[in-house]
Amino acid sequence: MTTTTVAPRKPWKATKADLYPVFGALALAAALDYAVVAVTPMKGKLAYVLLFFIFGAGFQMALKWRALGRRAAVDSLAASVAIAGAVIAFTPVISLLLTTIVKGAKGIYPGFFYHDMSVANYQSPLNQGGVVQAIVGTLYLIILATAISLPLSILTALYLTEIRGKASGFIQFLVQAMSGIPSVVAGIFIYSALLLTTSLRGSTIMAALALAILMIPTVTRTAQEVLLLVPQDLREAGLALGATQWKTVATIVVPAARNGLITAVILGVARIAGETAPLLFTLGVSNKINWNPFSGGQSALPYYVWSGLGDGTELGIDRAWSGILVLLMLVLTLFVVARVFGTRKVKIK
Amino acid sequence: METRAKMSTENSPQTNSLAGVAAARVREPGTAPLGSGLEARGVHAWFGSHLALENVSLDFAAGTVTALIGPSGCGKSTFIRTLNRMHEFIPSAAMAGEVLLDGKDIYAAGTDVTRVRLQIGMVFQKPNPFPSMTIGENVLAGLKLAQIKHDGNKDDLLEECLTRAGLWNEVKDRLGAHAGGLSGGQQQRLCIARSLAVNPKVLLMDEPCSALDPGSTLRIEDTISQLSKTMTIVIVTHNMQQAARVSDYTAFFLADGGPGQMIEVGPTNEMFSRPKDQRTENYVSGRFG
Repeated sequence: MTTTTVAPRKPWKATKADLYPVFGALALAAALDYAVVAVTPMKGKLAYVLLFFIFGAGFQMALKWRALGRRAAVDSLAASVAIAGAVIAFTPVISLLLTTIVKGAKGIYPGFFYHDMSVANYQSPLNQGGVVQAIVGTLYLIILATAISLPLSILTALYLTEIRGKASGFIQFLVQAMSGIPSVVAGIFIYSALLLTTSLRGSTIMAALALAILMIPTVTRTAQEVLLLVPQDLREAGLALGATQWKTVATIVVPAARNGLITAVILGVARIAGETAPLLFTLGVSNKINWNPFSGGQSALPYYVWSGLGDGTELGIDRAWSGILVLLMLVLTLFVVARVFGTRKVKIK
Repeated sequence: METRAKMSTENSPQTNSLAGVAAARVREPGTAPLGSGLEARGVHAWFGSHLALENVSLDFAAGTVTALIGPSGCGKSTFIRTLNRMHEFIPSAAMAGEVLLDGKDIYAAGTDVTRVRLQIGMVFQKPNPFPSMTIGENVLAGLKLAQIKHDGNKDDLLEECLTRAGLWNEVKDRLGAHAGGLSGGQQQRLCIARSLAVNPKVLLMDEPCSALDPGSTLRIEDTISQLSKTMTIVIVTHNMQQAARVSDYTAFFLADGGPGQMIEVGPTNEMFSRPKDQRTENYVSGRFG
């Protein structure tokens, strides 16, 4: 066997020589953009962005047209529009993140993560008090709401995709209708059904029930979609080995959809982690850590943020921003953890 | 062409007239419809750091049918996908070497890759008619997708392509029906008809009959024999009888623990009767693979 001395190439990748004209055209577009805004009545950031897009896309089209003709030019225009769409969609997200980091960082100090608010109030200096009670509360809420809604959602999804019983259509309709419930209604429902008429008082579990109502339709819909993506062949292969439907679903279908189901849970948690309205009627209040989820008031990060904003003072609003930042970090951490531990590593040689 | 193992000759008058039609539809003035064929020069293919195909040089003369045979995993499909630049759709893919269509490297800088694929058509292992289109729309989809202006009558083109693919009689009364209702063999012939509508110079077929019944397979082999008068055909097949029946030349590929290599190429009857390499003989005589 001969040993190869040929180097692998990727002729389809753009080379530096290909990219120079592209960047040249973008630079030219930027210069023209600046000139046009300077000499015409068009002013402001929007004019810069709009003109830069028009000039940039136009120059790229011209380059492609010269090299490969009209079809390539239209292709280039479609790519430019897609890139512009992505930029427009991501600009607010990036802006939101940066604003939160800049404004939230002001109130962050080490004690923010281990002090509670029993030693301070919203008007105290920013180096007093913290959100540890709200972090504990939010974690409790996420865990309890997931524990309540996950089995229900997956089982509903399995009923809809695997059993396909007579009530499928009706349940599908209910799930869709449920996903449109305003979050405050979930809170009011738990309040009026469980708290108003009984001796029960607001606690973590009550709020988790309200959040579970919001989480169920999201997780069910997503789980249903990913279960439908599992090829029918796999189910048939399992059944053809003499397996029962239950065994096929439990050992073949669900593991095959595993990554998608984790995504479903992540989307569900994302749906509820920042919800404030359902908590207002159901959570009770606490400015200390409450380890007991079944009695006594509890705190939560969105609730902390809401109270800080409601306080209205400069210090209160600063605390609210810091609370948002902590909530974002917490949710992000949870997602990373779910991905890392949830993804089965398949070694491909 | 003497080496061709002919399947059927009884419908050659029809074939001749079709060849005439095809010759009249030359897209570029001054270019022969067949061109001068396809040449692979020192083609290597990688997936990530894994060398899957090593140093394949192979000429496909215009108007011939070449069969690529060899056991699974020997790089036949990878090779065929480098011939019309489909290899690069795999993110980690890399290649080396040249593929010349009419003497021009399709991997050269500044090549319009969509034009390359327009001239080098492909039929896939699994029939893949477009599900949202009717039978008729499927056949003419290439014109729409590649934005080709067709001067002649579209109905004539539709009939011609379906006839050449051997499907016209079965679907002429339901051209408006959705393609999903056809059988596997019919779907595959529909895919062949679809690739003919844009009049490619070269047609690559990656195990086109692997999922088909013998009847459909025979019809597709018939189609291949007729098509080779107007285009260059490269077919990957695991069916050695098929290779013997349809091809003028046969190339044997083998991955002996390492990267896939082309062991031997020659006129089909010689490859099957007196191959030069012992491994080829073992394979074609069914002693392994």
